[in-house]
Amino acid sequence: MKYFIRSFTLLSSVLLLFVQSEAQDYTFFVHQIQMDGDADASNDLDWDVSVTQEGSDISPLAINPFGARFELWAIRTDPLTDYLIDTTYVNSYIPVAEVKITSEDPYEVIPRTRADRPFSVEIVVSGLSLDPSAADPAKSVKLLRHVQAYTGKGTGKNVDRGQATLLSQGSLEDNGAHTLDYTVTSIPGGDRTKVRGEERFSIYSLADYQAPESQLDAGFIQVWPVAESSVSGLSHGDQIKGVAPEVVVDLVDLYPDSWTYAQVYKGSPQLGTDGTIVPNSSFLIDGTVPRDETLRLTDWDAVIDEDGEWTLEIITVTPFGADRLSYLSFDVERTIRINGAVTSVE
Amino acid sequence: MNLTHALFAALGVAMALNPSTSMGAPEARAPMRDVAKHDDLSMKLRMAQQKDPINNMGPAIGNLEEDPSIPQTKRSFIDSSTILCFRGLITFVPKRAVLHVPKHLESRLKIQGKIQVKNWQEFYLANRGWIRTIEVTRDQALGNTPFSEAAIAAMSESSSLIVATFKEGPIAVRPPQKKDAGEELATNSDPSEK
Repeated sequence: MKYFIRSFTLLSSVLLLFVQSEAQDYTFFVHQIQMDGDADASNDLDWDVSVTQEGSDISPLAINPFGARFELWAIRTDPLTDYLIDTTYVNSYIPVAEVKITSEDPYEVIPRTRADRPFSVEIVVSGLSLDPSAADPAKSVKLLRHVQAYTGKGTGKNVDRGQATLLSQGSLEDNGAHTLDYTVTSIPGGDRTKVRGEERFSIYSLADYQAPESQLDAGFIQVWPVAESSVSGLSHGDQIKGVAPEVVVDLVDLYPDSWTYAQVYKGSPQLGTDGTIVPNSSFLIDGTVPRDETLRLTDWDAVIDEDGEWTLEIITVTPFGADRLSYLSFDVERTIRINGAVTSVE
Repeated sequence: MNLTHALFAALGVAMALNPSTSMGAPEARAPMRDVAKHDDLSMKLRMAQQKDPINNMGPAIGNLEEDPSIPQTKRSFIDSSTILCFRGLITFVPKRAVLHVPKHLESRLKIQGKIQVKNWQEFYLANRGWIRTIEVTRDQALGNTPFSEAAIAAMSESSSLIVATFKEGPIAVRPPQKKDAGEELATNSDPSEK
């Protein structure tokens, strides 16, 4: 038998798994479930650990020979719903594993990235036996990769994770860190720019005579679609002779951490040009899920103050850098030229 | 949010506060690129799938026919708990943690009206008047050591609802395990399941 030190600092981060403003709607429970070796989970010993929200503690309930599973649940009041946030299996000779997923987005609450960006998975395994004669569960763990698309404008809430697709699986037989680099997500979706969903990487112990295959650790990354924009009220090649028209910019799937704006500069389109930001065209998002927004450009004559060719660009800045979502060029022709001649008749 | 991005954010906020402001784009910006296109990403995906690093690991062993994550996704905390509800507060304790429910308190095992979920400590603190806890040992919870007959009799006569706890946390108490074949000790089935 052994005691298990379980850090509950995960609670503080998990609290933020949900939108912060909604965190008060959730109550968290940690349960230690002592497995008894039979296939009937209803016989397993279930204990509400009753932890504080943050900190670490030694579980006083000794792990029995069949192991124990620790579960972290979040319960939402309205509607009454339960979410299994994290689970870890512990046993005497079962290896320990940790999964950490990182991307270019430094957001710490839930790893996240965009449909066109890379991410990495680091798996640290310890406790694997180096004895070739040891049983398979002592010297090997299983790695599973699941992918799951969110339907419509889904944000991951109320997703049935039992419907995730098991994309690939392998085994790890070496202690230490293993890094897996992915250039782009494999979440299913027809339009690859519009993929939204999650990838989950889980480490499982192998089944033995005491316990079934059990999750040692898992991590997931949320993948959000690439933003897009469409401009109406002004078309490529238009000529502005008087007051600048009202331009409507529809923005779709703006990244949760992004700054989006319209800029103009004199001349033909040239990627990377620093222009002048159109007044009232700036939109900042610091949230947890993508958003759709509409910009209305009005009274923007002051930023197109010379005749000639101009370019309007819609730019979004995210942790991945600056992306030009769309652009068009137009002509400004405000100078009134009068062709005439003065003649006199005597 | 990194420093550059924070700068952009600050600028964005400033502009939101002062809509008339017109300014050049910040110079600290990373190199700009055109937004990703479907065709490019499709090609990237094909290459990524051919080079999935998991394929370079050892082949998966064990049961390959069943996805071990499925049973876990089907677990329900609410279904595997007993509900305690009173005056708009509700909490959940493991099934079989409730050792005794007097008749007049049976209605408190069901959701009533508008509720707010509380953890056990908060709920118990507000409901000590009708809930009594009994600290059990690990062996009692596992069903290896039965409660004494006197303890069982005292519980059955209690006018309070009795919850088994271990280190102050509610714990399921398994029915006593059979000492010998054919001999069964007093049961501790969850009254809430009746």
